[in-house]
Amino acid sequence: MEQAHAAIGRATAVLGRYLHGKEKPLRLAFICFFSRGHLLIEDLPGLGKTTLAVGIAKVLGLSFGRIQCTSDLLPTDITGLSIFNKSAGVFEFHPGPIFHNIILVDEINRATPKTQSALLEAMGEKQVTLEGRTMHLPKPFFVIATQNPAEQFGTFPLPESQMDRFMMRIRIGYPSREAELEILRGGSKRRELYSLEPVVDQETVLKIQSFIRERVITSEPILDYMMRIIEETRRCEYLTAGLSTRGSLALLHTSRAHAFMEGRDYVIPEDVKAVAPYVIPHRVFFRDEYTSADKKEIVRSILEKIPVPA
Amino acid sequence: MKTRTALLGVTYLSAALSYGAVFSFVHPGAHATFWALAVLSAVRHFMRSFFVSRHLLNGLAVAVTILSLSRIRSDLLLEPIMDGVLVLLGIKLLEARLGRDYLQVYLLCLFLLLGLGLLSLSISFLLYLGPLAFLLTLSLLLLTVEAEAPEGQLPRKAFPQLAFMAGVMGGLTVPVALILFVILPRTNFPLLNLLSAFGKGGVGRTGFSETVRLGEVTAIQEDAAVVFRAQTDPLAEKDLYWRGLVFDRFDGATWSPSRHVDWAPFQPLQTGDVRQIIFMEPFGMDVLFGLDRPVFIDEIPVRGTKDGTFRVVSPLFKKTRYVVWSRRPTPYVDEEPPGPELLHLPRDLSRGLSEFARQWAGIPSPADRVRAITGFLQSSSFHYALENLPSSLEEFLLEDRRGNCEYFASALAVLARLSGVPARLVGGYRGGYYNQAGGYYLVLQKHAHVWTEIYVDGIGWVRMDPTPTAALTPAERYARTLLARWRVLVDTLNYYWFRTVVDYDVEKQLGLVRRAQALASSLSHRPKALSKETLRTAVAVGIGAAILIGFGLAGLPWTRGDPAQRFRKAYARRLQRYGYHLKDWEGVEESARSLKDPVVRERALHFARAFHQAVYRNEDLGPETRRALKERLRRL
Repeated sequence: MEQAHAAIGRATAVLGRYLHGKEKPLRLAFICFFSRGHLLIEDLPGLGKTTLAVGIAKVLGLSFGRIQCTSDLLPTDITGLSIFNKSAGVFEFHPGPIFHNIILVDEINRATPKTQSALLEAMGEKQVTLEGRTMHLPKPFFVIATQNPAEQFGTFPLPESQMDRFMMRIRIGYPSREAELEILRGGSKRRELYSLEPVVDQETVLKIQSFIRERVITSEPILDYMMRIIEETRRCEYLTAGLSTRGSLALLHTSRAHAFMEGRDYVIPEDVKAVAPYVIPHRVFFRDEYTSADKKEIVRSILEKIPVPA
Repeated sequence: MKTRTALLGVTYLSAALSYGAVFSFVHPGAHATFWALAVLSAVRHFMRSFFVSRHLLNGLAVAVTILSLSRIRSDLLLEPIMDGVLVLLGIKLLEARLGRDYLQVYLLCLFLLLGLGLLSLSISFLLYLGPLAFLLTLSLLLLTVEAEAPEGQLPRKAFPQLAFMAGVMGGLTVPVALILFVILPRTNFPLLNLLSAFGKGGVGRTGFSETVRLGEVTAIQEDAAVVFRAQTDPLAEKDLYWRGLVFDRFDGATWSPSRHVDWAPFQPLQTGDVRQIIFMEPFGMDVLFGLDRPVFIDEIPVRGTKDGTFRVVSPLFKKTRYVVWSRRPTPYVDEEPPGPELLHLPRDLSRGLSEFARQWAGIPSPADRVRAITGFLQSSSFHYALENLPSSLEEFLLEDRRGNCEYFASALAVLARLSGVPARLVGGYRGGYYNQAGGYYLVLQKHAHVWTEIYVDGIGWVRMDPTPTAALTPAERYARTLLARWRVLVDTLNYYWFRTVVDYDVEKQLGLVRRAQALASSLSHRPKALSKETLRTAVAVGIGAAILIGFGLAGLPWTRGDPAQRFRKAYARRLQRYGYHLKDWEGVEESARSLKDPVVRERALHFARAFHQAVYRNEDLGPETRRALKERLRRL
């Protein structure tokens, strides 16, 4: 665990050089990644989503694939397809971009629902079934999808039920003035990013993931605390539907990952509270009258209703 | 609410309390003046403020002081001062504006209460002292608050807090006061008691008179004032005759003691003599009472007479304690045979009476003769009455046949003398309420009684009480009322108050020291086997104390539940010191992080980490962990 922390620390430090002012999204991305979930970034283009995804892939020594969604993107463009090899006389499978460890799905809301659901199925099952053949996706498997909330024409925004498949939804936001000034002075470092030496190897990443799943302790009081939060979302007057069971599990896993990132092997209420604003809002149904700005407030008000155990 | 309003409210309450304490001792003029001033001041403070010249008020105060001092007489020492203080209190209430005015008001309140203590010498003093001490402490606290922020607002929560603090301060002074009470050097004469000789309590509750005059019903039989308390074992109801005076001269209408008094030395004590400790109220007489018939009186300089009565040198004007030994059996044989004066009757005694007495002359034995007369008086034709009494003995015997004890007793004595048997009247008290808790008889003026004694040759003095026993005497009727029962209860408190507090002198102080020494030395020896009584008392006291402690603990704001919650609350209290309010939904670490002072933050985090590890990781708050957590909390 010590080593793992050192590794994560190093990775964060290295990436920090390229991702000015994105420490928080980076941290959340790590949490999401280590808790074996997928990340949805909802933000305007050009704020460093790709940089973030590439950076994570490179620094962790993982393969990286990118899917740029358009309305004519087909499911096979993602999964890959079999092409007849005349000389060999057989169908050869050409894997699509999904067969990578880290995949950036850019502007997922531009793809048609059909393609979206194929992608989401792959995300959920971590396998692809094609022409009767089931192929496992590589491990670790981490999808970073982006969605542009501002553009509405010709898009197919993900319905809430699909959003549930993403463990976390975050925003990157504009960098701070200093960070942006630094970027302006130094110019884009995207090139250098691609030539980044990995700090952690794939095996360590998998170990960390299983450690978080199996060894981080969530005591009875914490489970009770989470349960009360979950119940409160189901009962809350501002929401029409509360957290699903998958949502509950997501809350649990991300809390564990957060605890791990904090250097603990046990979860405290602060962990739950820290991840809740990224885990809960995209999974619950708000009453129509609340805008997205209110949603964070509502989640916070729910948290403020639940007394911390002990 | 403004602090000033609260302060004024508490001040008025204190003034009202001390006014109530001296209410019954104050001159009507002082009552009226105080009320007028109080109403004026209430108008001034609560309704419409108006200007009052301080010079005028000061002049008035001086005038009141002079007036009250000029009224002092040797027998009216305290009352004028109390009147003066009360009026001064009214003036100060009107004046109250500055801090010192309030302080003066409180001082005057205390003076009034002190006056009550000296005037009544009863436990009611304590009942006033407790609340007044609380109120005064509270108002002093409020005064400080007001001085800090004049005309400021008092937060709603602050008042109960101040009240709690005042209560605690008052409670803490109790043990100190007790210790001081015990150890402060005393005179060998209870000083408080001496003062009371000049107060109202000392003016003697006259009622019992030196003569028995027929047909003259005194208010005595309606008087529920306490005459004395006699600490002794319970006695048979028939023995409860408290002997005081002997009347052996009869002039036709009035019985009086003979002028010539034969002083006699005390009788040596015999086994079977009943010991009583009598606590006499200031009575204004030189007679000492004792169970019929007293033979020895101790702890007070006294002279005994041959007829079994005892006199002190000067009338008693203070509460007095003495010990009496009495020889119960009647007839009483030790006294010498009486002289012929006990057969003496006035010359002008009506012939009707002598003729009436002749009907018993035929009975040879004097004892039988008297018994027959008594039987006649106790026959159903005689009735006990207190009103519309016959004007003379003759009328009582021959016509009306209704009368009180004086009629019955003197009828018996006169008839006995007419038939040649020496007889006399004895005045004293009959009965008394036995107070189980205190182990004493409470004797009231109501119990006043007169009975007859006749002398039979060879037998001695025989006590005869011809008053119909079946009749419900005023004392008995009184005993049936709830009021009486309540009184007996309150009297117990007063009794102990008097015995332990008012009567506390150097002798008792030394006695206490000696007993402590004895206890200390006996503890070093082998402990004696506990008697059943002691054990029972100890168990009862223990249970009582346990219940009290239980109630006390239940009242405390204990943090029940698991230790984690307790630590969290303790942590919250520490944070409060740094001005941070820990909310319910806030985690410990979260709050620690938001502290501003880096040093404090570091320490808070230090605690938070340990706390979280213990609670959420190990889920174990063993003694070891708890100690460590406490240590970290302490450093915070």
